[in-house]
Amino acid sequence: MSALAQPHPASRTGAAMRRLVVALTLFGALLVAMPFSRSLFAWLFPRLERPLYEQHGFVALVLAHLGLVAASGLCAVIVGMGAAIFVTRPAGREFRSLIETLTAIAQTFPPVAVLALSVPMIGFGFGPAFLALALYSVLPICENTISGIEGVPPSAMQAGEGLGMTPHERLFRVELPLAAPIILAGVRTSFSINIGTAAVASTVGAVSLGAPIIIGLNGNNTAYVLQGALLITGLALVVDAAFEAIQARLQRWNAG
Amino acid sequence: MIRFSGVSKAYGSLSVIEGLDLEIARGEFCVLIGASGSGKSTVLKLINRLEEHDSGEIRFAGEEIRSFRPEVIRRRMGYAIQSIGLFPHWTIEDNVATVPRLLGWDELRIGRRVDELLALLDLDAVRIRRAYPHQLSGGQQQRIGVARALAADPDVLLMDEPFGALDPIAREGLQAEIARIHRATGKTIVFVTHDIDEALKLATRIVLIDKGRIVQAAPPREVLSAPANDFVRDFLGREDHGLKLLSVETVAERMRAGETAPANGSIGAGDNLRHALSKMIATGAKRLSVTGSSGEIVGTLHLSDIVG
Amino acid sequence: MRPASPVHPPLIRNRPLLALAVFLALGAFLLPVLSHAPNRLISGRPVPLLSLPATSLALMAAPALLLGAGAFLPQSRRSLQAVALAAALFISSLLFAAGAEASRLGAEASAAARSSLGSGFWVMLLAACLILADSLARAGLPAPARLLAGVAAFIPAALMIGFGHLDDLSVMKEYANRADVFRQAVVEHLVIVVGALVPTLLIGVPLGVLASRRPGLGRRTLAGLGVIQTIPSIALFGLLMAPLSALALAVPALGAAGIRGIGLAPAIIALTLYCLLPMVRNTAEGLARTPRGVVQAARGMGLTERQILWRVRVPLALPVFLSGLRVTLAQSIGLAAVAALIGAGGLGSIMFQGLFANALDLVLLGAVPIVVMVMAVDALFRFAAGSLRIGASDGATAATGAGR
Repeated sequence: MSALAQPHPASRTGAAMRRLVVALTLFGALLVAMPFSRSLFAWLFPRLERPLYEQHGFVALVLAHLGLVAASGLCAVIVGMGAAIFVTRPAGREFRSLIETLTAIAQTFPPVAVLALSVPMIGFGFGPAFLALALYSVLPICENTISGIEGVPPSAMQAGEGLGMTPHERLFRVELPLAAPIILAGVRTSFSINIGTAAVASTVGAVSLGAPIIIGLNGNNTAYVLQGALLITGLALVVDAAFEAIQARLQRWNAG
Repeated sequence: MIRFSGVSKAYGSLSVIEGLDLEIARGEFCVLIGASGSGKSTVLKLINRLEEHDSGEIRFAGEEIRSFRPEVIRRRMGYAIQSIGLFPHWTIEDNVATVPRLLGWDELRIGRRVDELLALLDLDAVRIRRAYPHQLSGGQQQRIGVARALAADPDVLLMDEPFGALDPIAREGLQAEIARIHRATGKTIVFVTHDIDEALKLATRIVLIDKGRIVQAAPPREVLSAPANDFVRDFLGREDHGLKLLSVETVAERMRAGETAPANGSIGAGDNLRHALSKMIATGAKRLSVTGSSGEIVGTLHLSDIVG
Repeated sequence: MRPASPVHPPLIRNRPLLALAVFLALGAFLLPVLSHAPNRLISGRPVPLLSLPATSLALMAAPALLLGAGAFLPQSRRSLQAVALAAALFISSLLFAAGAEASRLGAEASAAARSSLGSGFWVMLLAACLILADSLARAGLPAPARLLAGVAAFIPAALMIGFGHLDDLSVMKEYANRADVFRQAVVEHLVIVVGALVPTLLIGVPLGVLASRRPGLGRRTLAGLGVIQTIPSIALFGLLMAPLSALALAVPALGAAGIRGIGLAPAIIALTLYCLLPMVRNTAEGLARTPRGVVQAARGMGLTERQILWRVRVPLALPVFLSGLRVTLAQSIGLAAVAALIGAGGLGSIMFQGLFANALDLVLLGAVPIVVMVMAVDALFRFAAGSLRIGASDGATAATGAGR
């Protein structure tokens, strides 16, 4: 472990910010240039009649994609953290093993299978995509919140108690802030999975950056596929860099 | 047994050992002592070639250690360290049997040897043989560490602050044990510590090292009575220097032999004078009866015998 | 003064079980257990549980009542095991009743009629599975025994499928219609997974060993592989498509060997790229996990570097390595489904065919085996890891009282 430890947190913050700026700039440039790249793709793929995807605007696709991921992610944060907080209170302790069993079982489901299986339940479109994404991201968030709260040093809890904090104050001032980096790691994992699943969700009728890829694959249009793939990759890297930057800032206190 | 002649060792431009000359005789209990960073651990590691010396010569049983393959020389020397380093995935039995197995002993002999060693270190073989290291206390683990080092009946035992991480009670128990083992087996022991009391208690010779050089090498009593310089005096601790001196002398050396009229308290002839003084202060007695090995009174120790 | 009252044990002894039992009951009484349609084009009419024949209802009621009662019983090992058994019986009787009802409805209607599993069935199945898993976990059985019990609970289901009792359910009809396609899809799926596993092991293990030796290099390797992991699979497939098809055009020999923009080649390359991260990371972490003191002691006793590697580092790294392999395999079984989009075949192609054609039984036929495969791999590796665990409990009492 020690040999593979993270670099020093102070340098981590700076590196993360630089990475975020680079990723944002490149993605912005890609997004702006894409509508004007017809001649480039026509040159790359001379045999295609329509070398540029124009059914939806690329900006609209990015926003729809982000909207799907963010809305389902937010929902998952509320439910997942809520469940985790409940089972780590005395009142909910006996539900803890049930929640852990549930997350363990559910995590063996591939996200694509969750997506496909939610269609029989609620049909096609935004709905099943939203449900599948939200359901799937509850798991890492809930699991990480539990282990984050579990990882709070007992001494910190005792100190909080000794200083006269109510259980409520201890939760918000001690437990959650100390668990925040681990919780955020869970949110990052689920967002990362969801960006990909949201793209596949084009197959169940949701609007996302997966649309050019699916349409391109069905119509043998490699240019569409490439355009969609480039934008999804860019978006995924930007979101990941943003999480890295937030995590680095959050962990400055244990710079030791 | 082991002889260093003009040995030097540097890490890059940082010199850690400079021109070291030291001879460790067979059967000696040689304690290398110094502050952290003094180079005492490096001296130990040069002996079994965990570190290689840059210049000079180190001989083991008359031969330059570089004429052996490192593994061969290491298997002829027991090795015990502060972090113990038991193999967590092996049972106690397998841990103790490490070197005998490397040397290809037959299993029957190994089994007998393991029993012998567990008994030697006062461990309950029946209960502990099949246990795993994490099921044992720190003190028990280090007993196993010592047993493992002794397993193949090595000529030399190298110990690098072996009791440094133990609690005071476990440490005292193991110190007594290793002293007993040294008396019983006559093994050559090279022992590194930074604890002067441990050194005074165990050593037949103390080698005080500072900045990679030997400051003084002498039996404990000589180090105490004739410190080579101020550094040694500081290391011994100026305030309780007198008490330390008492701790290396036995009651038998100062008692009035033949004075057998019983006194209020008693003390063993083999106990040290510091212990005797402590007993006098605690009980208010000005004299103690001295008892021999079978409990008979062999003499009397007066307060003036100690202080005078 | 309050009168001293005797301490009453609480009425409800297991609230999670009660909650699950209520969930199960809601599914049973409010949602349809089956959906029956005269043919596959017309959407079905719901079949409520209570419309099933009395024999089926009685068969399910017995274990169901025991499940409900379990929440009020004292929570001993034995009562929890009884609850687990009741859950297993309930799952079997539920499947049995669904199969029997589908046959009964099928006998009354034309051959084109379809009986598919309804939402009530899924809710009850989920609730019963959770009760099974939770009570096995609470019963304090060791992990391998728990896994075996969980597998045993589904033996009756497997027998029912094997002996054709469920053949009148629409999923099984779809299966019967395309058994050949299904079998081929399973084989293709395994080919993709194994095809990615081999290069992953060949590249990942040496890289992991290297990373454990040179921490700086290891950090950079892992950071690079981490970036690849953040690229969604569908995008990575897309990014590989154009260069690979260009390569196939430029070097016809490669095209003839199957290297093309679509199909197996991009699927296996992409999966390998994904799987390298867990493999390299766990190999490196496993090898780096050996405590420094243990290595120093081993060296000091005269073990050669090779002996230290094989007798100390590798055995200590094995559990971490195996869990890396588990993650790798589970991940690639799931990702292989997405690869169907680029024409790599496998169970994903049945699943997506169902999605595109709005044929939900096809979706099930593709997706359920994928989930079962992942669960099987997961269980197998956990079982292996459980039997590997060092410091087995047989010596647990040995430490106390030994020594002085």
